[in-house]
Amino acid sequence: MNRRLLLRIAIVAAIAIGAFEPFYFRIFFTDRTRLRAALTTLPYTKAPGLRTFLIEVEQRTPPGSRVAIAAPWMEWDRGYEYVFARSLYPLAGREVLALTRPGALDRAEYVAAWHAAPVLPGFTEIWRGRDGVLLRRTQ
Amino acid sequence: MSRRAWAILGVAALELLGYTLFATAAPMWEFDFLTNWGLKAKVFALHGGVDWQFLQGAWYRNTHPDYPPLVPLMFDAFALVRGGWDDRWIGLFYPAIALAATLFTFRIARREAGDVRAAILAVILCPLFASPWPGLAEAWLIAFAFIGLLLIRDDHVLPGALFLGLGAMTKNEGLTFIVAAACALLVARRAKDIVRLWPAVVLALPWLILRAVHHIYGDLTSGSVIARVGEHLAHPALMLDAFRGAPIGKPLLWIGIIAGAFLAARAQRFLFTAAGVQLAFYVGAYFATPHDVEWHVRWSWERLVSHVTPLLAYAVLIELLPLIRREALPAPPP
Repeated sequence: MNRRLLLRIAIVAAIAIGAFEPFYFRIFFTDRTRLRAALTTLPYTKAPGLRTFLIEVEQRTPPGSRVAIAAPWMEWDRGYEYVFARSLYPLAGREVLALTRPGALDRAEYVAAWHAAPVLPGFTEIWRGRDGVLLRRTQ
Repeated sequence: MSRRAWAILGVAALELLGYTLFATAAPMWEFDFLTNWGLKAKVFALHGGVDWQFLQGAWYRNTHPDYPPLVPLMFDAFALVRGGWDDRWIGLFYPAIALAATLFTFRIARREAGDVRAAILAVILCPLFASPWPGLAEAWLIAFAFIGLLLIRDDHVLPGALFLGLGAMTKNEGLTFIVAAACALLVARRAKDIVRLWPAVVLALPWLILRAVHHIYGDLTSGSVIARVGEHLAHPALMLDAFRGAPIGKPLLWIGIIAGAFLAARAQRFLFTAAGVQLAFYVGAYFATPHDVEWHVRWSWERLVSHVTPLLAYAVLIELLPLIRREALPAPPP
């Protein structure tokens, strides 16, 4: 076999091996129930309980309402963005407000507080779960 | 079609079955689905149409209100057919796209390389169409651009342009694929065909007009683009550092493509030019980014390069596989 032919075969092999995705074959032998559970919670890994908390909030707030998000960390770059960004999808249909932005609390009809229980004038607690509380504006 | 070709394609079928299990394993889990593609689709589904108020007020950087709406609207079409929002089974779109692109690869390669080598090529490219990011727009754009550019290369310019237009309705990067195709036609000495790309422009235009009318802008074009480009050009070390740590996805694949480019670039100059121009646009966009360059490169580069890898891999393989076959055959008796 000449050197040119070997080089061509090596290039084709590199592309074929490099493009190959073994997981799409391995998945037949993977525990898919565990995979499903892992993928479902994957986006919320750093905020345990946030996903189920947001599902509860979604059920208790009407579409079109304005829901502010509170978290133990209220600095945008130090954890707040993580919680806020992941609140958008479960609460779709509502206006999700970031309390780091000026005037957000004034506009909020609800405050969903994950792993926090803030006492806010003009708001009353309407639901408490394992991972947070939901407040509604009363004044 | 030969039995060997069928058997080889069977490997792709098995891989696509595995990919189907993956893409439908759970409700879509990617961050960009939750904050961009899926979010917009769910908002539109609940609103009963495109919610312009939502798009105008979407300030969070990852929501990208300016992105074209084809993918969210396809998710909504699925919701309409199913009778409600469903964020798990929309995953079925992804193996369907990969299947279509794999079959297209086989069909187009068959004319150039014969049954068996076309089947080998399709099996090699299949995982590149089976995007590891279900729920995102990557798989759609990869397939539209790949099919569109190969059709244009083979002188089916109008249908190819339609696919490029669909790509432009999928992601902003689809717009630059149209420019890349025009540049590639120029390099391939087919300048008069550039005007025949008009269907791509016609498909791309409505969204560009609508988003301007509704004052919806993207992050890349916000503020002073020229000042940002100037600043990044003045500090090239920052850009180099960002790329030094950037994931490229499949290193061995890239080694093969780069080595193969030396052998195939001349014959496949249309595809190499299109992919090269597209990559140049991506690098250029980093010079205009309003975000931290290192952050931007780290979280987007691997996905961006995946847009052109099937094109480049095809360009190399379609040249080398027939040559290997020819050289490996025993010489005819004197």
